[in-house]
Amino acid sequence: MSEQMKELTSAFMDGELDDAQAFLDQLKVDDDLRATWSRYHAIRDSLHHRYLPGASVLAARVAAALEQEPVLLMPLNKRHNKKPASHALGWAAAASVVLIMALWFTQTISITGDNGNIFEITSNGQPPQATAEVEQTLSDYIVNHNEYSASTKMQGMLPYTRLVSYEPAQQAGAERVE
Amino acid sequence: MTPSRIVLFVALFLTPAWLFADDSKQVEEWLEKMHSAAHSINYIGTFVYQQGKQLTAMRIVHAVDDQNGERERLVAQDAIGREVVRDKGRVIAILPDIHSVVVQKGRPEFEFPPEFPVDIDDLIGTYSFTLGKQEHVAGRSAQKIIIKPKDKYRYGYRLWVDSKTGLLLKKQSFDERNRVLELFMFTAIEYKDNIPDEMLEPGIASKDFKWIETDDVASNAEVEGGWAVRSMPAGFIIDIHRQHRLPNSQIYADHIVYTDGLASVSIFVEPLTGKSKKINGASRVGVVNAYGRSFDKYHILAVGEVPQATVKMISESVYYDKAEKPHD
Repeated sequence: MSEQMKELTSAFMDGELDDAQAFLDQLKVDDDLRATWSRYHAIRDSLHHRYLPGASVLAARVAAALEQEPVLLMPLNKRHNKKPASHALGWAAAASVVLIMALWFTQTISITGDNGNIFEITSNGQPPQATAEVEQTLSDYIVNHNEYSASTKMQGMLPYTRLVSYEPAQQAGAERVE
Repeated sequence: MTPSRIVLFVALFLTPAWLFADDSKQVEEWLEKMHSAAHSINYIGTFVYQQGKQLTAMRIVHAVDDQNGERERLVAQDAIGREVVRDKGRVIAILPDIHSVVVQKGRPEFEFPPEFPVDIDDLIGTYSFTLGKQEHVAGRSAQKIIIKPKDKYRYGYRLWVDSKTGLLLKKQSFDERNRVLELFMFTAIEYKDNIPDEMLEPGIASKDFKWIETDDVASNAEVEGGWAVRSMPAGFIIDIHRQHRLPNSQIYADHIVYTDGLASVSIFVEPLTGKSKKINGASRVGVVNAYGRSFDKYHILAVGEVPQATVKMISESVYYDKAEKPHD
């Protein structure tokens, strides 16, 4: 997943993407993009206390069920394209996007406390994030390290969040840090 | 009074009182409360973990009872669903994205709960401690604690501890320039009397997953001597030296853990076999830094949630103390 696609996903969710249709088309065919998109939604929902555990599993099951459905071929009903209605819908959508953005903004400020932006990346002078292969090799050491580290004694499971929170291979590999 | 003295005097006068406050004793009490809560409370929670540009939502279940001891389960709430279960002295990591299940022995429980690793008197040379305000996290009232490092060899932490239960609800790690490196924060937490067993069962791993199992009990035996470290950042002392077997192999590796009480660094020393992949030079997974190098017929890797400078310094100064017998 490239940085650009992540930004596009973010922009799409914020309703700021000009060519939303192209993004939707890509979303249909790109598993990685869909995974990122659903992760971003899970995070946003979680931040807003709206998170529903198992939603992604449900989505997968619905998708699988749809696979099994026979395809019905019928002519498009032209009357569905009435202009005024879609106009009103557009405004309603825009208004809700503004509301979501406002909520998101407030939430972002409140959770970062005295340290500014949540998306701040602070890796100057550090080596780049490990590639998938290195990460795979390291994960075994990290489990061993965690079990014997002082922070596991203090915080139990917390150090394992670093192992569980992991982006798919190509993403980690692509994430270069200046 | 010279002008520079006047400036100093005025500066001292203007410095906020909390800069002088020594909250270390109060902070120690809060840390003890937090340590005890981490191993004694039943809860189910959702939290977010942020590191760099990466954000993950996770679900955590923690249970303690007489019959089963302490059990924990952590599951990423994303399409991949990585998961770690700690149960009955085992750590099971299910990694669907690399089709692997890693099973390892947990640290043997010499005592339960594990000892409180912090002695604040030993730490005041390397960290400063400040008690912050009461704030709200996940709808709970929380005490904020600020722990700042006094050198560049460790990170600082801001902790928010549940005022009532003592559970850690939010944590930020920051570097010497006060930049946040990672954030962990509960968004919802439910304290429970009982947790159903099925909530602690590991998820179903697919049959084609590769199982990587390590360690028998005997290999966790503690050992002494042999490998040593020439230069170590101030305050780091040896915590444990053990040997363990490498995954799917008969080869033993040394594992030496150093800690300053809050941060830990592991040193792994393995014989070079030629087959296995080795990590050379600097690498990083989130805030965990690693530095590897070859030394004679061995490979040395230092890993820890500390700055790169620390693992590099440690890795490069590992040597073999001839006075000690080699352990083959």
